[in-house]
Amino acid sequence: MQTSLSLYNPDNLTEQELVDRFVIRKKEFEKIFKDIKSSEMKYPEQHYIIEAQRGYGKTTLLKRIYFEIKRDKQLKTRLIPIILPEEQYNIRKLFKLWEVVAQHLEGESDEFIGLYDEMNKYSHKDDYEDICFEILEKKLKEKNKKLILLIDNIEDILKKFKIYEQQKLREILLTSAEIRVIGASSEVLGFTVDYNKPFYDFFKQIKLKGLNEEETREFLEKLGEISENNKINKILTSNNGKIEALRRLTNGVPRIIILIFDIFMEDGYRSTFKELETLIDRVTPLYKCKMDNLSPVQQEIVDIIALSWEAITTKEISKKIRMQSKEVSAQLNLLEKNQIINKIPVNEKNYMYQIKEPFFNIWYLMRFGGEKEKAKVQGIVSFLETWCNRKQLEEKEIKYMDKLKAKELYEYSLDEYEQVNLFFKFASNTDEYNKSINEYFIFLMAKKQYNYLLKLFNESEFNLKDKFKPIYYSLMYFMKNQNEKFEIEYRKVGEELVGTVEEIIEEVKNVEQRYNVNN
Amino acid sequence: MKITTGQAARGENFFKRPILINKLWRKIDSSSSIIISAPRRVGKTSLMRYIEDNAKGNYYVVYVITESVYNENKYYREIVKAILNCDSIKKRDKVINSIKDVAKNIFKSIDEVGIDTVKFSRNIEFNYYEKFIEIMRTIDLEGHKLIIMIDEFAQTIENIKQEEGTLHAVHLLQSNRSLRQNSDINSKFQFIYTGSISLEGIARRMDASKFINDLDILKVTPLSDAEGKSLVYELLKGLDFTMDGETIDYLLNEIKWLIPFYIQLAMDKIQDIYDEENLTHIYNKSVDIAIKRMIEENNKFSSWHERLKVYKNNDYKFIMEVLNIIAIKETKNITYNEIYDLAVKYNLEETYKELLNTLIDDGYINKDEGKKIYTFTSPILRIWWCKKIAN
Repeated sequence: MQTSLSLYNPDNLTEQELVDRFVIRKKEFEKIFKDIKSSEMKYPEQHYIIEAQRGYGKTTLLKRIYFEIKRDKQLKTRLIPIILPEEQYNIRKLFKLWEVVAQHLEGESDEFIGLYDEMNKYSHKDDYEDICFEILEKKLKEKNKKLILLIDNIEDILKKFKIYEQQKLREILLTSAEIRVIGASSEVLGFTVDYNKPFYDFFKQIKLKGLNEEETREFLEKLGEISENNKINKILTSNNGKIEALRRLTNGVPRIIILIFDIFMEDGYRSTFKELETLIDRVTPLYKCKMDNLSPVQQEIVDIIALSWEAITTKEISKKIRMQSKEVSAQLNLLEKNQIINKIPVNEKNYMYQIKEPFFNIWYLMRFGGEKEKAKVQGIVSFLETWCNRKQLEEKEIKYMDKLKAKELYEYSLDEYEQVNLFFKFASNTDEYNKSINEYFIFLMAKKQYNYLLKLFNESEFNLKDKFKPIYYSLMYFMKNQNEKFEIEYRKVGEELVGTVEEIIEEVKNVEQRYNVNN
Repeated sequence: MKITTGQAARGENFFKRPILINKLWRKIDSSSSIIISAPRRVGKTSLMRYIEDNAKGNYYVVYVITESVYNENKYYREIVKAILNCDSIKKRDKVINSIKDVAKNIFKSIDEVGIDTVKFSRNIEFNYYEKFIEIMRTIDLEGHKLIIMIDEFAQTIENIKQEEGTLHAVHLLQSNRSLRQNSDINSKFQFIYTGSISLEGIARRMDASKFINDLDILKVTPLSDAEGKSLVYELLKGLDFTMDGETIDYLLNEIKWLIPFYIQLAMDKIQDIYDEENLTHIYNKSVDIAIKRMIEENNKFSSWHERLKVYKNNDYKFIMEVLNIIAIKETKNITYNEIYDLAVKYNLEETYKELLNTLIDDGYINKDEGKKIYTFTSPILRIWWCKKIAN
């Protein structure tokens, strides 16, 4: 099936298309480009690394910079950009990097023709890599050009270099004013965060985050424009909550937003949960590959962490997998290093682990979880949809819940546990009252009835924790100073819910202020 | 002035500190060789490059970085190469001719001698220590003196120690000292050493401090409040948002230990907030977020923990406990008495003072002689330590 991914794949686009379709990452682009433009490169300049996971728009951003330098009349007289695409399998040694750079320069401008041959004359010398760079630097000086070297997946190149080659490259980048590197990387580079490695702290990092609500909207509108389908505009007006719920669940990853766009463009109305199920099918090849790359033990560990959804300790994992903590720890370290899981400290010695990419976790729950796990996802989906739609939702609460909105309620005694229990029994099989329940919970927190609310959450028959997870984490936020275990619970909040939990906390504070409930 | 967080700040991006610069020139004028000593990120390399870019008339300056050097001969080879290609010398016809003659005589097998084209063949491996002496003996510097600045010198020592063992590493310290004390040639050059790991620390650990005790030490201190403020004003000139005096004071007070890097990093985070929210004026709230991000987002601080791993066994345990106590305790300090008690606990009564001195040299802690207490140099570092390490 032809998907919009191909319409947006930077490798398939002409220069003009790429520039026209560049609607996300504009701030990051402007930041880097402004710096390039205002840098004389009289002295060695600050080098950059654009850091984000796959699908966040790194390659497009690098290409945008490349094209803009070439389009800028003033810049192109003094700068020459070259871009090394992904998969530079042949660059294993520092000298090879300079050779490849020479070949690209020759392709970029006639002025540099012969550069590679000139280097190659010295290939028998022991210090060939030094000579290569000296020749390159000399040529750049001679032609009065400064090199902007854009390297996609820079980590693949740097990690193949021996430590002395990394040190040498750092020396060059620290001392040569002829070259400036802008790399892109999908890994947190071990050697940029490890103090013992040469590139520690060396690059200025530009981290690409998931798209926010506004950026997602703009991006979807652009996709509608490109595919000449204005259906998306109607959906953006009528189904804002649905889009926002999906955005939060997928962390606003641009590549996944494109898949969401495709699903929206298909005919027929589907619930948000159904849309999510379709999306899960579409991302399966990507995530399946991620699982297949793990060893059997690692797959088993990831299974336990993913199905738990919440952060889980080494001890809990060991128990489930029936392996010694030591062995599990070693595997966990590897998984963390490979960016599959996150480590969250519990105390000085112990950690909890969580799947790093929230949508991967949701995919796993939906593909491999039982009914219980799927219900958990469904709970979050309907919570987020209600929450994101809260302003537009019609008021449909039953009379009892209506009363909750009035300030008078807060003069009520809350000693009504029986009555509230009765309501939850009634409401537990429907999402109809979610908005009112949310409000009620927020009011309870505003009134500092934390333990009362916790008691409700602990009533297992209502499954409130599964359905109102973000409220539960907000409660943990307010209770975290009461007991360490609440603090630990609060730390378990997944990345996909962080923004929502922050909004709820903010809302609680607003309600408290608005109704002055605690006076 | 632009925010610079990964590269040495040069040209108009270098924040000038006249008192410090004059102090360094005075030390240079007194003919000593010097260690520029300061914890990471205080601006040592930037200071050296400023001296190089703005050398006084009677000096030639050569800058060499020897981070990727793993043996002594290669170390001297890099220095010789740098001298033969030195930019400031290249401007002087007479001297460059003298260098060409010297090089031709000394390196019979040199490929070419000339600007930018000094290449050595490795087919014949010279003793570059001897060559350095020969060059210095014969070169006519027209009454100028050559300042040879060696960056990452301690890293080179560490490299050699790892590759060839402590004896060889100590030998490089010895041979450097011999050159400095060689009265035939030492009137023509001076060394300035610096680097991101402490030379004093590594020499101490190899029991070789005596080979560097002739060096004059320039301690690069953090910025004063006034300097910090003026750095922020300089940075603001190149930025699209404004900050009033009160907010700047608030920022500096939060950072407290005013090394240029922390200020630059905080301003970088503030710029991110400006980019995200289009705030044209920055107030305390954004400063708080920026500081929080500095601690949360960056791995900039993990190095403070990582580099302590060179200490082993009880030394490591002692250091960690001292730092953890300062980080966690309500008073945010540790007293001399408490420290001595810990030293007893770890059987380090004889050596604990050395460990404390290294922590001070490397910028972890400050000593308050009057109150007889130690505190973290920077509240930001303390908060980070408390959050990520001690808890």
